[in-house]
Amino acid sequence: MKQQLKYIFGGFVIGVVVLFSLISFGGGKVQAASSGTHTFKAANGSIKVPDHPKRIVVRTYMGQVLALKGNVVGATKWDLGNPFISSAVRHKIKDVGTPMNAEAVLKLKPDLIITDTEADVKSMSKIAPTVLLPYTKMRNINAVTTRFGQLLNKQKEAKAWQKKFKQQAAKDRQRLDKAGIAKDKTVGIYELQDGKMYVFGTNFGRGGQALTTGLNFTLPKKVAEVDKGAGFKQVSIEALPQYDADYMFFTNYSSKGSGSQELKDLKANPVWKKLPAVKQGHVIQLPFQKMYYYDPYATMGQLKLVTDALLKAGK
Amino acid sequence: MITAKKHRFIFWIFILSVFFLGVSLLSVATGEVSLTPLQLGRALLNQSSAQNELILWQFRAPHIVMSIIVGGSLAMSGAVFQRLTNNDLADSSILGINAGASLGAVLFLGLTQLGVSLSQNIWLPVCALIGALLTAGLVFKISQDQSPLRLLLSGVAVGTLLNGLILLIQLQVSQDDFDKVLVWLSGSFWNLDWPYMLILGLIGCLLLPFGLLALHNSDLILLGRRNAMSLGLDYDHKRRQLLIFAIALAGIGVAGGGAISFVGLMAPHIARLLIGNKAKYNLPLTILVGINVLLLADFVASHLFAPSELPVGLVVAMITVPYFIVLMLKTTR
Repeated sequence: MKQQLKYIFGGFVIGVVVLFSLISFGGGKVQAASSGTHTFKAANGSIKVPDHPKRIVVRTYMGQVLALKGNVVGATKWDLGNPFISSAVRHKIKDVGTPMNAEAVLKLKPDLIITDTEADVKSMSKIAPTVLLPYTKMRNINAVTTRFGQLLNKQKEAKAWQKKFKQQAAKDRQRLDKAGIAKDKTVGIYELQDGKMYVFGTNFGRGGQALTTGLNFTLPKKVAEVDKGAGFKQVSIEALPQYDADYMFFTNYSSKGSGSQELKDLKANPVWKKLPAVKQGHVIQLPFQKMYYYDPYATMGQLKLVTDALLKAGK
Repeated sequence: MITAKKHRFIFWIFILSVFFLGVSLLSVATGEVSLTPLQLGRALLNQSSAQNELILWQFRAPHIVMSIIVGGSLAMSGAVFQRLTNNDLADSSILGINAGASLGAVLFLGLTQLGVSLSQNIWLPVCALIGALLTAGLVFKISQDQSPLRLLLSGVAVGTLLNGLILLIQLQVSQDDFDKVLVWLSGSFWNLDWPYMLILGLIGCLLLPFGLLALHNSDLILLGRRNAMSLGLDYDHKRRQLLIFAIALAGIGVAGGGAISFVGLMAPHIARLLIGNKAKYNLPLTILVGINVLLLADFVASHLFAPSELPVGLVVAMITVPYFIVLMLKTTR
């Protein structure tokens, strides 16, 4: 019994020592004082953000910030791979790692951090005001630019971009009308990912916004349902006729690199071959790397890409 | 003879402590921003720039504390399981207990998505603990006679079943939550907040006296039931105590670091190579080895592909799985 008491006592002493050393570890916090701020409602609550952020670190939304003339100092590799943004601009922005490396971000001394990933929020909030914007909630490109306009206090720039987009879209619409490709034609977005077929709505890049918000094309009924729901859906090739459209925009992604067998298999599939769009040469395959992005730069660029491709495919 | 062993024990404690201090120092001093010893010292005394203090206290020191919590508890848990089952291959991950804890945690994450608002800091470890306890109960129930082989087999079976369930849940949740669950399952220090670590540390400290009590005279268990009882040990009672202790430790480890496997398997083995199997010497070394493995793995995980970070569980697996395979080949021969 005496022996047992000794152990219990010893354990408590060690426990208390460890506990106190843990407590003493909890250090101070840094909070940059800033002058003008406004409150922005983000997914992680109402965040006080600077009126005129000077150094922004951003994950997933680099294009959205740059389009409104925000000064981006750090972003992730995915952002920096955006082919629609000039490499001169991209080279000046630092890769902060994926997931964002707190120290790499800290080194850039940002006054605003924007991310789409909840896991970043905790550590990033210790560095600067951090805004969480889940990408699934950002749909229409005009709504997106308006929201970023509020966040960055650049409403004017947002309006200017929207106007430019509208004008460009109107021009491209005219070109299409001249060629007889009217806006009541239906378009759908399809992607083969490692042999699995996906149907996409208008919210996952791949030209969705350029085709609908820009060029006013309509979605087939079944695709519109997908668009309203999760925004994407895996379908079997056999079910594809239910989702077909007058013009089918198609991308292929294979983790095994290009020239994959899956694409050959698809093109040999009798169900695929019987699709009206396939028969008429109205399947428009575009490079994945260019269709994947969905920021204002990409949307504007895709406007031209899809218009040119449509004109090439013909009526 | 005894003194020679004691000397060896002190020697290894010293070596492992030096290793621990060395890696700790390296990991607090290096990174995106390098800190000189002077800057480090100032930051330690809270007399440095705000940036350096933030780096030290919020970004780097938590990794070391979490390595201690997770490495220590998983290693200790493994050592106790190995004693308890008299089986060198026992470990909370092989017995399916990590999977149980993960399922508890994943279920909790799923619940919070359904709008049940509970504090993650408190309830996630609690759920992991409950999951660990239920699974252990199940595994030990299935293998009634608790022969080493049956125990392992039922552990593997239950573990596989639970991992299937986890996958099922994973496929039901949205992409966002899926990523969150994945972070958990690949084993990473997913929450390095001081309050969270404090709670885990507190649970660990509360367990400590109970653990020491359970471990007292536990060497006798290795002699088998009959021999132990003839020496006056309440065999079944002692086993139950040890079992609860080991499960609780596994729960803490999983709550801190997600599904990190094999630390509990490897650390006691290395300690056995260094000092033998006597609890008094073996267990302290086991804990130190476990902490060092985690610390080293975390260092590699955060420096290898900087600025991107690997899940620490992945690195632990890269270090420990080859060891496990060698061990298994040796044992089955």
